[in-house]
Amino acid sequence: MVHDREADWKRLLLAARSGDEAAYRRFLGDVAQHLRGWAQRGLTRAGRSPAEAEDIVQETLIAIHTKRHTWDDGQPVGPWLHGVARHKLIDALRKRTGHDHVSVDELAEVLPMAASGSDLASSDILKMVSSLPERQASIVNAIFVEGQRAADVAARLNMSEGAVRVALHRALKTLAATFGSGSGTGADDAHG
Amino acid sequence: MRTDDLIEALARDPVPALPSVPRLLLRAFALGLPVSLVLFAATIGVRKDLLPALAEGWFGIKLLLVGLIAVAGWQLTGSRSRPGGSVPLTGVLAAGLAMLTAIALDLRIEGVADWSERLIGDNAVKCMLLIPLLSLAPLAGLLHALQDAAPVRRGEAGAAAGLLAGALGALLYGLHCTDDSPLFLGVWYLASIGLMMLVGAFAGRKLLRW
Repeated sequence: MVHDREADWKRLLLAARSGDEAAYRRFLGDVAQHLRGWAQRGLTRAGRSPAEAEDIVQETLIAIHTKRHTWDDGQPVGPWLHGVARHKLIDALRKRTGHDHVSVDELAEVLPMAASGSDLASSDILKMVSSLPERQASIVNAIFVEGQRAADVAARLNMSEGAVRVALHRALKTLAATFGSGSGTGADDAHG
Repeated sequence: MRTDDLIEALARDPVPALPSVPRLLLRAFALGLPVSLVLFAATIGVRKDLLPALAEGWFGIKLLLVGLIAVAGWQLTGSRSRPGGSVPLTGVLAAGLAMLTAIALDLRIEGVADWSERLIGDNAVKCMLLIPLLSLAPLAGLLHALQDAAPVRRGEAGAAAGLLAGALGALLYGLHCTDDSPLFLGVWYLASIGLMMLVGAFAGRKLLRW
């Protein structure tokens, strides 16, 4: 199957290169479908709601489109496409979590919750967030629940953006530990 | 926006795709190399004993070795400028083997007695200053081209561009420099090119976001 898809994509993309609009439309549609599942899995692993996948699919499609000239037609399409998509997926997750330096795998490690794809802002989690030290709780709320940017939160709380990220990171670690221990309290790691 | 609408819009995008990666890199040369050439001609210029030196042998070998490094740099820059594909090491291996062979030849033909003199040479400081200086414009051009490509490992892409730009700078400087021993090349030229790789890696990490 993988081989078939590769052959299909290569044929469509080559046709698109020579100006076949319909072939390109088919290629993008097919890729979008493929990306959707991939983005949903990535989001779930990172503890984010899979409902955000469509945004990421669109961002990635735009990247594939603007970088389409970088596919070398002597090479297979699949690895190139996955490279571009992975790059954008990581980018999109970073943007949404306010982290600047984490990989998808690290995210999955920090946030093992919501593995079933449940929404982050469910009431259990909110309860746990409220057990965090006040400042950490407000940062987590602002960024994860209200979707604000780290820079804006920093400005509002009169902190540096770096300090916000550190506090967020600590809070996430505490939450992850709480989930791991299976208890609703236990914010022991609450320095900050 | 619905994804289907986006796909429709992208399929109808009237803006044509950018040129292929090799073309982008060649365009970068067209921008960067003339600057270095003018700088080279206006300051140090070609060595005065060019023709006799070419007949003598080591000078030609030096240019060939630096040329091989440039080929390796070209290969790596092309491969690191986009995802997919393995890292091509044939160029690096060829350049490394050629360098080791040339050093062995040097020791055999010129003798081992005064090897350290040939290694230290006459122009080490000049070499370490001028190769980076002559490489800067090509590096800027290549980084600019890489911004239009799709490097996923920014540092590696920048380092590869630094290798290529450094080799180009070294090729120009090599036309001026009278230290032709592979021993000198193996230390000072390589150190200068290595410096450009570091500069490239650092700049790449900063500049090659997309």
